Amino acid sequence: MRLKQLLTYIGLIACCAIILFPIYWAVSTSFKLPKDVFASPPIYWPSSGTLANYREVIARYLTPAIPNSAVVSLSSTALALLVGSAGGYALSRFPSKRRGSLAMWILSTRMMPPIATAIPLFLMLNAVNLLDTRLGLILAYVAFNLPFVVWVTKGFFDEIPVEVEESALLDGCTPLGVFWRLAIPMALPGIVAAGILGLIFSWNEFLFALVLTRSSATTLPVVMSSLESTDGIYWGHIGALSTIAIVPVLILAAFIQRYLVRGMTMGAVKG
Amino acid sequence: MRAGWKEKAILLGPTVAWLVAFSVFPLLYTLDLAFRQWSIFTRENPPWVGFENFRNLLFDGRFWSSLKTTLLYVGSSVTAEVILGVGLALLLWQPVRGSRIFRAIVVVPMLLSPVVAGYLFRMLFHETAGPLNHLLAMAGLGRVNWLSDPSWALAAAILVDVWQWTPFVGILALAALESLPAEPLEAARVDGAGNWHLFRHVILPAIAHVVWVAAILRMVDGLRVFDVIFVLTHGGPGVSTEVASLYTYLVGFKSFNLSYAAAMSYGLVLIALGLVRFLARGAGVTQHK
Repeated sequence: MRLKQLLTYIGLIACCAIILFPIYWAVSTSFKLPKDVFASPPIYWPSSGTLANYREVIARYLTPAIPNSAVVSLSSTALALLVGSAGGYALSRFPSKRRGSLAMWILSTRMMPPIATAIPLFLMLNAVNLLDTRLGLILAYVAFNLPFVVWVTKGFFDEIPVEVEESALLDGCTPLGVFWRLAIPMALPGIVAAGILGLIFSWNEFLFALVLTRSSATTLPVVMSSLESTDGIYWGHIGALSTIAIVPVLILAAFIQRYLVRGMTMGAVKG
Repeated sequence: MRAGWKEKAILLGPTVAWLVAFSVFPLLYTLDLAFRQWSIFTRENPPWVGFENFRNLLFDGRFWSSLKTTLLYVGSSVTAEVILGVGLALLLWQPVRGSRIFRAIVVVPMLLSPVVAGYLFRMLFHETAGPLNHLLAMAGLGRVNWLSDPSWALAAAILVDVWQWTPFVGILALAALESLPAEPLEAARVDGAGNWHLFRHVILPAIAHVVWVAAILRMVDGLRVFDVIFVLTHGGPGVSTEVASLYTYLVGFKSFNLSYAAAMSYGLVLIALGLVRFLARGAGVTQHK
């Protein structure tokens, strides 16, 4: 029995090392002095560090990429939550055959290669002059997050017994009132979890941002992807940018730790 | 629960309207585009050209090559993710103290933007300054030109995918393991079954369905892969890692041949749908949930 435990620990620690090493590498690189960044053999534990990478990165990329990412992610997620939880509630409380196929449709939008939607969205936004604007990107991101939000909130609403709502209805409350004042508070943890996951997805999204923005509304992932200049890639900056991109995600994820598994597998697993 | 149609409309309406406007309509628009010849000069009313774009697509060697690359990518990464994921799940399933912490750590790669993951590994894969080659050299295995050698670049991309998404299969498999009823396992063990026998004939069949679903989900996502490749290799060296989505993007937004890219997108969508239906039926699953 002891051997089995020992082997398990070794295995688990090995897995965690593999999982965390790339992230550790980025973070440690972000603090390295310029001469250490390209050192060969590579320096695993830097003996001296600097904050210069962060200072340079923030000076160059603080506007507009990081605020754009933040604003677009927050707005689109808030909107998607509002619209999507209503939809999830409706799908949960009013089952019917047509709703079933609607749910199937919502799930199947996950299967579309984003490039198929990106092309027409590009032309559509161009036609109404919303290309390279935060608003245009927000509109696209809400559509991008909606299926996920509807699906996950539906799962949470399914778990809340209907009886409380039905007795409220009998007491004279309107169905919308029941939704707003009863169902949402009861499903709040799930809604928050869906929201945080949507926030993470929007923060990380790349293809639509690449296609639909140029210079004003560009987001963090797009800026990161264009770091190759004529002087080559500077890893110190990349390390810093990666860390800036990763840290908010990890902090947010820690908050919804309980619901992470469920959200990431689209409700397939209750975690 | 009962409610009037007005309430249902208010609750479900906005969702449906938004999806119709930004998901359904665009797909129809793409279809229309695919039958025309869009160019900057004719963008007001591109002329109708029938099936010409699709005919060109059939004879586009680069498209079929990108499809082959995509399938190779998806097949390899999903196979690795399934094998490693089940292994990971078995490890996490063991009752050891602190397994909760391990479970929390394991989820992290999936939370990262594929762009970030791509850059993380670009640093790791660097021929001289990257730790990976350094560790390989120390182990006596020699250095690999991960990103500049066409034979290795796709393997590098697959490695990134496996790093990021093995935990996905892992947590799904873990959930399946945790929902296994204890009796069959106990009974088999009492009958003297060894660990390997236990695994192969009792555990594996029981979690096979869930693992297959995880594999299908990964395959669907793999067919759409774009971000990682864009950042890691940008399709290169040459076109050795040019996956279908990337080629479509280049056609549409570098060459600005939007209608041809539209036709290509549609080809991809149809292939993805066909593949998924074939696989789902193969598992005896109509659609999970």
